[in-house]
Amino acid sequence: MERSPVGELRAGLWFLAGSVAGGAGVAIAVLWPLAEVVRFALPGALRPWGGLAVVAVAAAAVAGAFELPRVYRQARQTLGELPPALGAFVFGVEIGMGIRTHTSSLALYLALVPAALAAGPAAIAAMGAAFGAARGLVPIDRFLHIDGLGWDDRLAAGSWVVRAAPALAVAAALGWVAVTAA
Amino acid sequence: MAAPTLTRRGLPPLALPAAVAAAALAAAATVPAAALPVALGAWLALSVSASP
Repeated sequence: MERSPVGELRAGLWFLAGSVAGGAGVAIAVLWPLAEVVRFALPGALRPWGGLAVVAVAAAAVAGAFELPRVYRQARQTLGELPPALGAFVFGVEIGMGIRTHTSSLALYLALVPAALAAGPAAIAAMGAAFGAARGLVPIDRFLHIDGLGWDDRLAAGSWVVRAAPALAVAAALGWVAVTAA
Repeated sequence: MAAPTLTRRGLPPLALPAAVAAAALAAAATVPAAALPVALGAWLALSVSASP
């Protein structure tokens, strides 16, 4: 169904809201309890080293040293049956939670683990909300470009942002482990 | 409504979320405990955003 620019932007904003909510929600509901369990089992002195080990594995996989399982889970067809704002919000929640994605490598998610081990619930929620916000801004980014198909082609050709992002994510994870271990 | 355009400014795809992620990483120099979680989440999201 064709949408007006206003309708498209409105759907994009609902998608962004859902994505932020989904990211923060899954971080608090899933990542934080798991981190608490691991922290309970792992002596304090070993946590930074455990975190560094996970980042090292993630960095090696990102660099192509080995392959991890891939995830291909696209949007549900039934979302189109919902009212546009609700459908956009629900899809955003799923994207923010990371359960609807086309992930090239699960290594990227491993970067979350050491950070979760080293942080409290507020920081974990902030990490999840930021994940959701960055994912949620993608449709708005596309909307703001004059040529949507050109945007698609340029992204497929290899945006420098996508090429640099894995290394910067690993660097942020390392920095976070170092800061919280200090 | 005429949508503002980023292409006219020559910005690449994902420039908008990348600006947010870059700002978080820059902020980590002064408030690392607050900014690094945000930077990690944002750059991780951009890492999986190759297929919009």
